[in-house]
Amino acid sequence: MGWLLWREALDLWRNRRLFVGVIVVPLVLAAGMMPGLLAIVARTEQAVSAQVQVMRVRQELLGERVEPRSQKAGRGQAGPNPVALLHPRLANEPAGRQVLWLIVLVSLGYITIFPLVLPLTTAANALVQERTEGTLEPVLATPVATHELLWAKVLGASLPPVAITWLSWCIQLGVAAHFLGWPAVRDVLVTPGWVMVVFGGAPAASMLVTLVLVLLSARIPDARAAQQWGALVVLPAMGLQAALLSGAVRTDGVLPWILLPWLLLLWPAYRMAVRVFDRGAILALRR
Amino acid sequence: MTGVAILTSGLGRRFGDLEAVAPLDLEVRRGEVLGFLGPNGAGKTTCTRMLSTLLEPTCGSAIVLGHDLEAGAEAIRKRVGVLTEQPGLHPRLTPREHLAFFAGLHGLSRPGRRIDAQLALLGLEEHADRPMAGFSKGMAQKVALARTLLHQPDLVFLDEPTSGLDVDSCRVVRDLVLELRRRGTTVFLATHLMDEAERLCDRVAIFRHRLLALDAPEALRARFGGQRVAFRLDDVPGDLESVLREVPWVRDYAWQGGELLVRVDQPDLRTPDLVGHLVARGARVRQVRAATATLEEAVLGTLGIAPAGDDA
Ligand SMILES: Nc1ncnc2c1ncn2[C@@H]1O[C@H](COP(=O)(O)OP(=O)(O)O)[C@@H](O)[C@H]1O
Ligand SMILES: [Mg+2]
Repeated sequence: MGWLLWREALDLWRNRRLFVGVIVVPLVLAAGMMPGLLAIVARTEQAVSAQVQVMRVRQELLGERVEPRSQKAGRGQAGPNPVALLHPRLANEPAGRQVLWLIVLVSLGYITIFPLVLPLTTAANALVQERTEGTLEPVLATPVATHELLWAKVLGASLPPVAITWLSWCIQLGVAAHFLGWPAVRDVLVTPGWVMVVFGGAPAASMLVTLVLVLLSARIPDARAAQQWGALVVLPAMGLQAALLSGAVRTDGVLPWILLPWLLLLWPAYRMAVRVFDRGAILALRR
Repeated sequence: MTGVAILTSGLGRRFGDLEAVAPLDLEVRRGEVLGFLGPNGAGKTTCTRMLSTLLEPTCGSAIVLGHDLEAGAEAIRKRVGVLTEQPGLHPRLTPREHLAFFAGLHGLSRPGRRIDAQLALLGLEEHADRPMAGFSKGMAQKVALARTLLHQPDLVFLDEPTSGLDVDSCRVVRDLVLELRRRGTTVFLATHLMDEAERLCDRVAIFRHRLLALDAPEALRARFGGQRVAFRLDDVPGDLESVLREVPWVRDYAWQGGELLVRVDQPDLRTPDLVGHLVARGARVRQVRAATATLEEAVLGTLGIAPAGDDA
């Protein structure tokens, strides 16, 4: 198992394109986007009335990312004070800080997409290589157990995205604390709901996406095509998540429920993948 | 069981309607190099995979190194080495890392010395620490071989070990097989190259979805190749078939490239009689020569593939 993971890690490390795409770019986004926006908004804060600014920033940020329907729903509710919807405590914050909070929350919502999207790339890459280079067969000829092999694949593809998610979360909390003060950030963001999403949901979602790709790649010989189908599977989940986390749908109390579908699907997906990965069967799947 | 490395009984594999390997009964002795010879698509890889526990058979069973294929799969994997048809190297790893990885999978402790020895054996020291992405087919195959032999298996499966290799790499691979044979390692060598099987193997199984023959190469040649006499005839007797059948020591005949090839038991002794017989039946013999059959011809004959030429 250790050796299998070592190989996956070495492979990711040496694969420049994958390394940049999966590690560097998300980290730069996570570390750069929020502080940048916060700094800009904090400086122009006085120029426009805060309430107008809330609406504008909200439209700009959500207009790109959220699906039209949920956006509409969000607007319907957004009438009085959208930020208060994200967390009740924020209703009492001064208007200027509410804008900053909105940016922080949207950015955090954004990184929760990492564990859904990044494993698509890492897993597809690993599976493509198994196929084009035929690296799986000699490994199957050694005494490794099927479940070790599968675990190594799943962990190899999902650990880097999870690590990136956690790291991004920590960075963003730090940045938020810089602009808004640690006690407030702790009260609003270091809640059981958020902790569960980031530390439970991210690994669960990541592993599930990898397992889905393993299963798809058994049905679809071309792993690139499997990746696209996998993206289709992930897309609705991403939309839902983005809507929930950006406040288009109420989040208080809802947050932990985002986890539930992932956790429920994980076990059956694992059982199915074990069967697919079984020696004696996997090489018969060719063509 | 000591004398037997592989014993199959009715081992077979279907892919849907295709019977890639018909129920097979085969015995491979310990320490022998067995050639598994057949054309492309004959089911050699399928058979190799089944015997190395990489593919489930759809019927039958086998004992490999004293372990049942199904119940003892893990024990088998510990003691066999498999050179797969594709080398299966990791392009971003170096040969040394690749070998370390497989040593780890085999649970070898402190494999450094063995890895060095394997790299040296195959002349790979210079390239040991370069990523394998740009390796030639020959170098890749050498790394794959080093990996196959790293844990010093008792039984080695080689699936088309020289296909696509340059002459030098071919020689290295073949020398290595001979070295394994000297050391007493059992080798199951799947190949479509007759001449390779003939040169390297103690026994050759001729296989095309089913086992067609199994014997030492010389015995196979004697049995299937026989000795043939080639005639160029001007006037061919209309009833050539019955003319030849009158002669008890003629085994069979065929037309090939305008020549009549007659297989006889002792050509040195029989050729004059055969010429006399044909002449007496109205044939005008223009030319006679001895035609020794290669194992290739023997195989083609056995597989029922007509050799190039016309059937007059
Ligand atoms: N996984 C598979 N699925 C379907 N057909 C297969 C599979 N593997 C091999 N075959 C078919 O089985 C036959 C034997 O193939 P193979 O064992 O690769 O032959 P060889 O190694 O002798 O060239 C071929 O007709 C091949 O197309
Ligand atoms: Mg083959």
